[in-house]
Amino acid sequence: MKTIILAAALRLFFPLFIFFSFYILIRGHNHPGGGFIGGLILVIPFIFHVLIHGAKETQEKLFLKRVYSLRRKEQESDLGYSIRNIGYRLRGLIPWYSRQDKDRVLVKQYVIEPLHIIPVGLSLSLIAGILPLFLGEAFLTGVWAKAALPLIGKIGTTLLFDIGVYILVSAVVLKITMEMSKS
Amino acid sequence: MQLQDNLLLLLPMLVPFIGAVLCIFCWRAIVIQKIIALLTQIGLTGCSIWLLQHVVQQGIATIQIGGWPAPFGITIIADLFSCLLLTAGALAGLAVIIYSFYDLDKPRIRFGYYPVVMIMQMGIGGTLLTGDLFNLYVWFEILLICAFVLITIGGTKQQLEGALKYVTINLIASGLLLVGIGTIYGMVGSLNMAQIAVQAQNLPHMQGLFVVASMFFIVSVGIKAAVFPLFFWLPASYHTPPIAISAIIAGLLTKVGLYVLVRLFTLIFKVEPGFTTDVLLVMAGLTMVVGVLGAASQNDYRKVLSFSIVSQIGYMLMGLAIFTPLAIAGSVYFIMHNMLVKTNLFLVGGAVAQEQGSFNFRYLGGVYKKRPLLAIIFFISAMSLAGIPPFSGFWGKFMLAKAGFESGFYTIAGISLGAGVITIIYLTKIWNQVFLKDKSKDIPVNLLHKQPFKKMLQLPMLLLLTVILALGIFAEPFIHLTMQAAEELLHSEIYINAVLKEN
Repeated sequence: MKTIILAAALRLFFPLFIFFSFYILIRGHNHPGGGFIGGLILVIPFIFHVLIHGAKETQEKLFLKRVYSLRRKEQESDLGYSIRNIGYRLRGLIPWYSRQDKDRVLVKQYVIEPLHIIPVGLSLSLIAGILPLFLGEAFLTGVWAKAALPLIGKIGTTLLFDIGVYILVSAVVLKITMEMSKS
Repeated sequence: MQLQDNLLLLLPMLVPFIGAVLCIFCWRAIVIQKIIALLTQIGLTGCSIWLLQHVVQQGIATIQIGGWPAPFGITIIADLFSCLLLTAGALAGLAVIIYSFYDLDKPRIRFGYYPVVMIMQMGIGGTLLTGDLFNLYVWFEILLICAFVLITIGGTKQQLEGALKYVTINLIASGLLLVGIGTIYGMVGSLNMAQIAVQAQNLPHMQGLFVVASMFFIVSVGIKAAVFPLFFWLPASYHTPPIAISAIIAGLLTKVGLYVLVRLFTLIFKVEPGFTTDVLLVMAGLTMVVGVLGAASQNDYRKVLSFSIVSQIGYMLMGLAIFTPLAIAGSVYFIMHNMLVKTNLFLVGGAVAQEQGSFNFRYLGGVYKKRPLLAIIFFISAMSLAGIPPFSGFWGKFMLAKAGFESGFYTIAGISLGAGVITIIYLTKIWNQVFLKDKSKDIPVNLLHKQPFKKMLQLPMLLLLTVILALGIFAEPFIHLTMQAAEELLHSEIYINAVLKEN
């Protein structure tokens, strides 16, 4: 089902869905919302992407991670080269930063699968549960930071727990979508 | 509150959960998954024994999740009964994990066998330790969903057919369980089991409604525990997956269902002479008879054992129906003993089938000559199951039968003894067909593809055998423990005070 209208609309709505899911996630402490619903909303644009382009293309476009290195200069020592590369990778973490294509070589590429994300969410929630134990409280007690952040408000272990759920739910639904569209 | 007190009760759930998360992190690296699974299971066994020792010394331990006080928050509570089952379950799980290293095929491990087993262990720990009715339902669902996954893993036609029956019937049961919980919540307005128990004593005019609610629990948990009219899904599905899977499901799942029945009927719905006792007695007797006859009529190692699970469930239910301290203690002892023995018998069957390529009696034979150690392991486990004196099954049956005769339930005690005789018959049948008889000559070609026998397979069986022997030969301390557990169960005010003391 490849329709241009839907594909163009999706491009517009993609960031919107993502930001809205963040909003729902953070709003969830005192209002309807939270990690579960936020995670489901986060997956909506991805599901549409799969519907429009197919699972394979979604994987290649959205989940393919390419790792680049700098081109090696002539007569450069191993140490100097690796230091330069580490600097390059660090700069790569800055969004929208990229180097000229001729300077870099593709080292490896891999697909980030939902299965790799699931345990991250699980362990975040687990940490949120265990943290209060070390502060002498009961398991899963909400522990709150003193200071409040702008926009988000006070942060505590409950938010960490919700973020874990958010990641877990989105990854699980994504996995289900991918598997079902493949078969 | 101290960190140690807090942590101790959570460890039976946290350890398998952490193990499962680490296993999912290492999804592709099977060797690392095996190491993690082994360490987790050893850790879980250690924690269970630690918790058991703590409870033996200091009585019932409780914590409140999130620091919310008792009737409002979720209570985690460990008494002797749950700790004994937890330890037995962890030991059985340890044996199955070691066994799976040498028997389970690669594709099934790649599909996530270890993480799912770990999460199932977490579900069992949660079910045994929670003190909240709805929480109990959630934990039960967790372990059932893991069982669904385990039964379907690999996706052979036979497995899917078995899983279809299993999933359908268990989903209906879950619905009924939820209705039961809803009824209880509607009547007393609380989900904390101790609070419900207090309210049940305070609301004498609602006794009729409590009986109705208790019937919902009997039917739904009865389906999950495979008692008489509702057992038919079990022999239809348990024999389909490979042994490393069916052993852990067969050893643990139905017993957890029975734990729920015993817990609810000692704490919330008292078994009073009249309707409930009659229902339980009839169910127990028929479960024993039908299970044992089914087992005797089968010709497949796994099917015999699957029916045998059903018949053993009858004994455990019988203790609950008689409802004297000795009978409850017999039930507790029998559940523990059965977890270990049944798992071990399944494992022996798996080792035999690995070499001979079949579970069907027609194609099996001659194991005694070839593998004497395996035969001895089977013999002792089987004698334990049948209840021959020095071994563990005897003490359980003895306590149950004695309790039955003492309190005048002659019929059920007689049925239990008769069923014991037939148990010996079908175990002798396995012994003759699989171990003693010479192997038949005309075996289909597709069964000739055998794997070489791995001696290490006997290690987990020997581990379980040691525990079974200890349970039988040094029975006194264990019987003492189960008697204590039964006293705790029958004096529900101990449980109630432990939960509600803090406010």
